Amino acid sequence: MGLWEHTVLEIQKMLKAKTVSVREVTEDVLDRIEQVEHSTRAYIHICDREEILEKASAVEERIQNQNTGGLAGIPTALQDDICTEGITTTCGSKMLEKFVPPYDAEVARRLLEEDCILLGKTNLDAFGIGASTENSAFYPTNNPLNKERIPGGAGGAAAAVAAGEAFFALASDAAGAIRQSASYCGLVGLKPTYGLVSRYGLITHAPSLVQIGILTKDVQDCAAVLNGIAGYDEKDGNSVATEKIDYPEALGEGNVKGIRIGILSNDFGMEIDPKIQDGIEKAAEAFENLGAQIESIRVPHLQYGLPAHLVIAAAESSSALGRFDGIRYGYHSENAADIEELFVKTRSEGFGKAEKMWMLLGGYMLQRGKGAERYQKALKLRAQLRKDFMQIFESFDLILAPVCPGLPPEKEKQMDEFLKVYQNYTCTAAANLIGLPALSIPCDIQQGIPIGVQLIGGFFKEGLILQAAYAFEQMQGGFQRKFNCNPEKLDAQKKNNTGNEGEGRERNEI
Amino acid sequence: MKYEVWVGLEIHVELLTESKLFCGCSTAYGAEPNTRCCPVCLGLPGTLPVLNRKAIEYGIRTGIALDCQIAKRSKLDRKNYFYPDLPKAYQISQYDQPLCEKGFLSLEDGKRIGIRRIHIEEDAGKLLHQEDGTTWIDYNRAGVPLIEIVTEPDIRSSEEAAEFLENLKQILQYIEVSDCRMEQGSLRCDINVNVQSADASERSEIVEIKNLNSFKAVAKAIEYEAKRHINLLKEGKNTLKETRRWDESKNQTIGMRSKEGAEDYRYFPEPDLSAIEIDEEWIAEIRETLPELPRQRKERFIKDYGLSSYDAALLTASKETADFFEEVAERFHDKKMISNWMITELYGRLNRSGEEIKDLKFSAQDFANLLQLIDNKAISNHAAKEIFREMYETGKAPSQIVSEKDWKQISDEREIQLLVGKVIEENPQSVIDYKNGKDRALGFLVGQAMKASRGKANPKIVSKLMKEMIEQSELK
Repeated sequence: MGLWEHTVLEIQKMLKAKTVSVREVTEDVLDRIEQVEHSTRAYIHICDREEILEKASAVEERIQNQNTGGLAGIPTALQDDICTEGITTTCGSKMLEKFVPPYDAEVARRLLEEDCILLGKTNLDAFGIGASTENSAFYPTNNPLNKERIPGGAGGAAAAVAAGEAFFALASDAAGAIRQSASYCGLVGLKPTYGLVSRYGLITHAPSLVQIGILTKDVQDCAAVLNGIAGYDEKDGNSVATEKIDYPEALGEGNVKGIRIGILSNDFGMEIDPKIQDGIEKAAEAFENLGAQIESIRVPHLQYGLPAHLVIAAAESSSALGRFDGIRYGYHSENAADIEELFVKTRSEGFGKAEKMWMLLGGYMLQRGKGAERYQKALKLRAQLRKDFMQIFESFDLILAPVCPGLPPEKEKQMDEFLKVYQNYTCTAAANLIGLPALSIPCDIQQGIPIGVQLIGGFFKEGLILQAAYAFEQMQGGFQRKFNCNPEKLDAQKKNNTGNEGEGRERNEI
Repeated sequence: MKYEVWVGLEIHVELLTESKLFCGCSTAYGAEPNTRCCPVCLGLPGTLPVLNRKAIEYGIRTGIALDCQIAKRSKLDRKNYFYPDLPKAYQISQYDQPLCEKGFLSLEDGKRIGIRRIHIEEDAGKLLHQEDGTTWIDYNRAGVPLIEIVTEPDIRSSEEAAEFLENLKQILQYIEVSDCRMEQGSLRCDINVNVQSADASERSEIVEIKNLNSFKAVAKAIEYEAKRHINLLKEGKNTLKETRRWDESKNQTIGMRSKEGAEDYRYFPEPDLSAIEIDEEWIAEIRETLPELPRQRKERFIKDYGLSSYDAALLTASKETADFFEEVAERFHDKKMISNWMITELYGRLNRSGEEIKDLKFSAQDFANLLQLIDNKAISNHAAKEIFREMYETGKAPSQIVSEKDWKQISDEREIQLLVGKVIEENPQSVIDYKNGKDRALGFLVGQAMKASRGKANPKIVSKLMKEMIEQSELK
C-alpha cells in the first residue's frame, strides 16, 4: 500500500512515530501525481517538485525541533479560486490565466502556518459557475472512480483527494459543489456555516452564498482540517467570532443516541432518483439502529430554494465579475481602440459561455422593473426558507437529505443545458441560501458509482454534524478504501471500450 | 409672469478618517499616485471590504448636527457601473436605507433648508489625462470615505445656496468630520435646478449641473440656469432633462448628457458586509462628543462676552479661532480688547502668511500675557505690535521679547519729567508756539520726548507732563 492511500490521521501517526518522514510522504504523493495526473487532470497548477521537497525538509526539521501545527507535513491541494501569494490563481478562467496574487487567502495562510505542504491548485468551472469542471477554461477533470461521469463542481479538488494526489483539499461551495463532488467521488465534503471560515482571498461569483470547505477521505480528517481553518478573521466583514471548538474532540465516540434527525426526501420540486432515495432510507435505518430518533419532515418552501438561489447567484455574478475589465490585472484584449472597446473585447474574449449567461441573467434580475421584482422575491423566499429551517431545528438536531437528485451525470451530456446542470444542486442549494453547515458522506455504491447523503445542521453545529457522520462512518466500517480509485485500471477499461484514448491529452502549459 | 428658481443640492464630502472606508490605507491628500493603495482598494479578486466604523460615526455626527433622524438599521448597497477609476466595477454606497434622513439647516433669517438624506459611500480613483492623449489612473482616492448630503429643493436663490453652503461647510468643519477643501476635492457640490411660475402652471425640467469648484461658481451657475430656463419657458419651450457642466472660463453651463433613460445602476445589498446596527447608546455617545455648533456659539459670544454680532461672527467663523478666543478669554478680562487684537492683528498676520490658528507658534497664554502687558501699561501699543510680530514669527514669549529688546514702557513720572524738561529747554520756539495757541506744537514736543526715550515712554504720561511743565514754566 502506497503512503498516498492513507488518511491524514494515519500519516500524522506515522510521522509522530517517525516510521516515515515528511519528505517520504511528500515524494510518494508527488510520484502518485506523476503517475495518475494525466488521467485525472485534477490540477491546473502543480508546484515545482524541488521547491515542494525543500519545504518538506524544512517542516521535517521543525517537527523535530518544536511543536508544529496540527497539520504539519501533510501534502495538500487548494482549489484554484483560493488565492496563493506568488502562485497563479486562475479561478479556472482565461481571464485570470496569468494572475499571480500578491497575497494569500486567509485559509491558505492558516494551512501554511499549520505547516501543510502545498502541492498545487485544482481545477474548477471558471469562476465556480457550473457543476462538472467542464466549464473550466483549460480542460475538464475526470472522475477517478468512473471516467464516464462528471466529478462535480469541485471536481479538481475531489479528484485529487480520491485519486491520492493530495491527502485533503480545500474548495468552495456556492450551491453545493463540495458536497456534490464528495458524493460523486466517494469522499467526505463539508460546507461550514457562512462566517465560520474566512472567505478572504476566495474569488467567487456569489459572495453571499459561497463558503470555503473541505474534501477529505474520512470524517476524522475533516474534523482535523476544520480545526486548522475555522475561526474569526478580521479581514472578512462577515466572519463571525464564535466559541472555539475542538472538532476532533467533538467527534467523541461517534454516539448519536437520542439525537433527533429529520429525514428530508421530498419537497425539492423535482424527482429524486429512486437509487438516491434508497440510499437515504438505508442511512436513516442506520441512524435509527445507532439510537437516533428518526422522523420524516417537510419544508413547505423548499421547492423555491433552487429558483431563488439561481436568481441571487446570477445577480451577484453580474456584479462580482464586473471588475475583470482588463485594466489592472488579468486578461487584457490587445486590439481595443478605446476604453469602451477594451471593456467589451476583454470581457468577450476572457469569459466563457457560462459566465456570460450568468451575468446576462443576473444583470436582468437587478434591472428596474420585472427583473428587480424577481430579485426582491428571491430575497423574500430566502428569508422564508430560513424561517422554515429554523422551525425544523426547534424540534430536530440534524436533517438527513440527499446530496444530489441523481447519480453523477455522464460527461458532456449537460454541457449546453444550463438549467439541467444547475438542477444537480437541487438538494444542496438551500444550505447556501441560509448559510447552514452541511456535510456529504458516502452511504452506498450503485453500479460502482458512490452515493452520498447530506447531513445539515443548525448554525455553527459543525461539531454535531461531524459527530453523527463519524458514527455513521464507523458503522460502515470506516473509510472505504475500496472507494479509492485506480485510474490506471479505468484508463485501460476505457481504452478497451472506446479505443480513442489520448485525444486532447496534452497538458496545457499554465 | 413671475418665476421662482427651485434648487436642490447634492454635496459630496470626504471624511477626515485616517484610513479608507474598507481598508487600512491612508486617506492623506497629495501623495505620489498609487502609493496609498492595497489589494482591497484596488479591488483585486478575492479581497473583501471591512467597514471602518469611524466613517459611520462621522456620518452619524453630521446627521445629528443637521437635525436628522438617524437610522436604527442601515445597510450598504452596490451601485454597478463600468468606469476605469472604479476598481470593482461597483461603488459601495447606500440605496434605500441611508444613515440619516429628514434633517434641516436654518439660514440666518430662520428659513429651513430640508436635508433629505445623508448616506455613506466610497470615493473612486482619479483619471489623469495626459497631453499625449494617454490616460493614467491614480487609485489613491479609491475607497476614501464620503458622505453624500442631499437637500430638498428648498433653495430659492443663488444667495440662499451660497449661504447654505457656507453654513454647511462651517458646521462640517466645526464637528471635525471634513476639512471641506473644495480645491482639493474634499467638498464637491452638484446642483439640481429648475424654475416654476408663481402660480405653478409652468415649470422647466430639472437640470443637473456638475463641475462646480467654488461656492461662487454654484451661485453663478444657478443665476445662469435660472435665466436660461425662464427664457426658454417664455419662448414656449422647455429645458431638456440633462446633466450640464459649469464652464468657469466661459461663465456658462454646457450640456453633457441626457438624463432620459438614465443609466440603471442595478443596486442591490452589498453581500460582503452585514447590516449596520445603530443603537440609541451609540447615538447618545456621539451626541455627547459634538461641540457647540457655530450659530449657538456666536449667540453665546454676543451674550457672554458683550461682543457685536459682526465681531462674534468673525471670531466663531471656525472652531479653531473660537476656541482660541475662549482660551485667551479665560486668562484676560477685557474681551473687547481680545476681539480687537484677534480680528485686526492676528487675522491680519494669518491672512498675509496663509496660515491657520493651528500653525501658531505661540500659545493663547502668551497672547493673553501680551494683552496684559499693554493693559498694565508696561508696554506701549506701538511696542506691543512689534512684540506681537516677533511672537508670531519666532514663538518667543512676550516677556522675553520685552526684556531682550528693552521695550519696557517708561511710566515713571520722575524719569519722564527729566526727558520732558530737556525737550522744553532745547525747543523754546515750539514752547512759544504752543503757548500762542498752536496745538500742533505740542505734538511735536511730545514726539521729541518719545524719540529721546526711544519710544519707550508712556505717551499719555509724556503728554500730560509736557502740558503741566510748560504751564509751570509760564508761572516762573
